[in-house]
Order: sequence, then structure tokens, then C-alpha cells
Amino acid sequence: MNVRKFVCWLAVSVAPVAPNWADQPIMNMMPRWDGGYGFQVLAEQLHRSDLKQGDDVVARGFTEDVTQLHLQGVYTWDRSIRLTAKLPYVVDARREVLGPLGQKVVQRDEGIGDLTVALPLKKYFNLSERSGSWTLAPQIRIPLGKENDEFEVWDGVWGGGLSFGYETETYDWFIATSAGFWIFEQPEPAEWSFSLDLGWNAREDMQILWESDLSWDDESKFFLSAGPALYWRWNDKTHIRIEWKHDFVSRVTSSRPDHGNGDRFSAGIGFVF
Amino acid sequence: MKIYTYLSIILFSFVSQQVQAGGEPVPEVSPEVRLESATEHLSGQSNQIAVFTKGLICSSCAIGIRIHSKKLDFVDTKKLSKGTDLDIKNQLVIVAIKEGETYDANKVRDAIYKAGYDPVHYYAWDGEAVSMKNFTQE
Repeated sequence: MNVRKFVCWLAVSVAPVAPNWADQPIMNMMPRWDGGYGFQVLAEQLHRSDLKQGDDVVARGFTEDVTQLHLQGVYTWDRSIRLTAKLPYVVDARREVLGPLGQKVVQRDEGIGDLTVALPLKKYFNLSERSGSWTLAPQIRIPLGKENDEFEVWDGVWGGGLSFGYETETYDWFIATSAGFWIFEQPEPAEWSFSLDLGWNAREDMQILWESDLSWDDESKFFLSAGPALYWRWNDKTHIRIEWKHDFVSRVTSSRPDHGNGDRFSAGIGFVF
Repeated sequence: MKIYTYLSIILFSFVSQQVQAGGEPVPEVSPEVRLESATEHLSGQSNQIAVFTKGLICSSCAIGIRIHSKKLDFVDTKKLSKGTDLDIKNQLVIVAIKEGETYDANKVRDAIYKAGYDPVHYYAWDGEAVSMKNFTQE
């Protein structure tokens, strides 16, 4: 790829207003074949170390820890259309916030989160030395989580989203980028996001990636998270992925305190048929 | 400022990767080289064919190809890897045919297409040499 092509690629990648990375089962890459289906389970641990307001830390050491399981499934009619569903389950969520007298108050949440259903429409291209796809994915968020906790990991509101993605892979390397947005019922703010994943096919059954996510919302929240990921194809049916992301920038909304400065670790196993 | 530093790192990583990869992906092999490779796979074997398929770039490509090709009656799933193998560098799908069975190349083409890839033509041993053959039009 020469410089001109790269600049064009970058422009196309960033142009669609802004972004939304939309990780999809299975491991963002399968099944590509007609009639293919699969499911995956991801275990995710999120730790945020400070309570912030805007860019400022208002309570250092007031942490937030969220442990979730994500059950996700996919069905591919043919290479151009698939249906995915993602259901999170909050195993345990705990956060420390400021009480009315400035004291530390602990809040908790658990249970089923909100269901996300997407219809990724894909246009694949196959070249002699490269393959890839363009993706347009309308998505809906269906509120399933309970709303009676002080702390809600999932907002429990309806939402609609659209993401646009491009990915390409050669024998040695892999690049994927996506952009998109979500609009939710009031009072939840609209969210935008952008992702860029760079991968190296270290072995024929292993890919090492560096993944970056940008996200922001209408209330001036802005996060930039990035980190390494490892994909391993154990066999045709079984696929494993682990990833770690660090918040390099975490500006929370300036209207109220929220947690930032975090790390997210996830490990997953997926099965395709 | 932090974000610009970070975006620079991303850009640098990408450019470095390109430089390391020689600036270009693995080039397309010539028809002559592909025929040579097909000859190595098929010479003297009437129970295998090799299909030149665009989009083959990783071994994971084989998953869908295996799923669809093993549904074909004439594919010998006891040979190769459940009936198929990939020669990624030459973009060839090698398909094992059951002993004494007649194969339908168009059905192989359809199976590969359903797996998400684009078959172009195929190679087979005709008793004297390996030659390139076109799929029949339907």
C-alpha cells in the first residue's frame, strides 16, 4: 500500500461522521460461510481507579469494578447477511461514590444486562493476495436489565445504532476499522465510537493485535482505550481470544462524577459450526 | 496532547508494519507459478483437484470450505484434512476425490463460493499432465 492509498484509506475510515466499534461474534471474524452459526462466551473484568468529573479527579482511589459474562450468538445466511445477538450478565459490579457528606458510599449491581441485536450486512471482496469486507450494521438495544438499583451497569433503555466498518487481511497482516453511533431513550446521551485494530498473523492459527477504541457522548464524555489482543484458533470449531485495554484518556461527563482511569481485561471462547 | 501522542503511536505502528512487510502484501503468484504448484500437488493423482480461489489468505479460510465441501458425496473426507487442504501462498484449494468416483467441478466451485470465497478455475491430472480447466457455464 503506498502513501496515497493509505491516506485515502484513513480518510474513508474516519470520514463516516464518527464511529462506533461494534465487536461482533464470533471473534469479529466468523462465520463467513452460508448457513454458519456459532456462539461465544466472554468473561470481562473492568477496573476503574478514580472518581472523576470532566478531566479532574474528584476522589482518588474511589474505584469501580465490574465483572460480566457476555453470551453472544450469530447466524450467517450467506456471506452478505448475518444476525447477531449479545446478552451481558453482570456477575458483580461494585463502585465507590461520594455520599452527601463527602463520605465513601458503596453501590452494587448484578443481573442480566440489555440485549443487543444486530444485522450486519457485509460486502466481501476477494483478491488474489487479499480479502476483506465492508460492513453496515444496524443494531437495536432491548432493555432487559432491572432498573431498581442505585448503580446500573446497563441503562435499561431502548436504543438504536448503526455502525460502518471496513476490514482487510493478507497472509501477514490484518486491519479493521469501524465507526458508529447509538441513540438511546432519554435521558441517556447519544454515543459515538471509532475503532482501529491492527493485527499480525504470527502463526497460521494465531493473530496478535493492537486494538484502539475511541468513544464519546453528548455529555462530553471522551474515552480512548487501547491494548493488545490475542486470537488463537484451537481447531475449526473452537476459537479463543484474550484482550486487555487501558484507558489512555478518560474524560467523564462534566455534569456529574463518574469513574475513569481504567483497565479492561476479557477472555473468551467461541464455537462455530 | 495525550491523544495526539497516542495517534502518532498508532500511525507509527501501522507504517512500521508496512515497512516490515516490505510495503506490499504477499504478491499474487503468476499463472505459471500456480500451475507449477498445482502440478506438485496433483501429478499422477487422478483423485485430487486443485481450485484457484481468490481470497484465500489464512488457514481459517479452510473452515467454511471444509464444512461445505464435505457435504459433497464424491469428496473423500478421510484424506487430506477432512477432504481438503489449502495452499495459501498459491491460492489453491486441494480437494480429495473418492477412489473411482466421478467429481462435479461445478459443485466444488459452489461449495467454495458458499464458504465465502471466489473460485476462478481448477487444475486436474488428465493422465499425462496437470492442466488448467474452466468451470462450465450454467
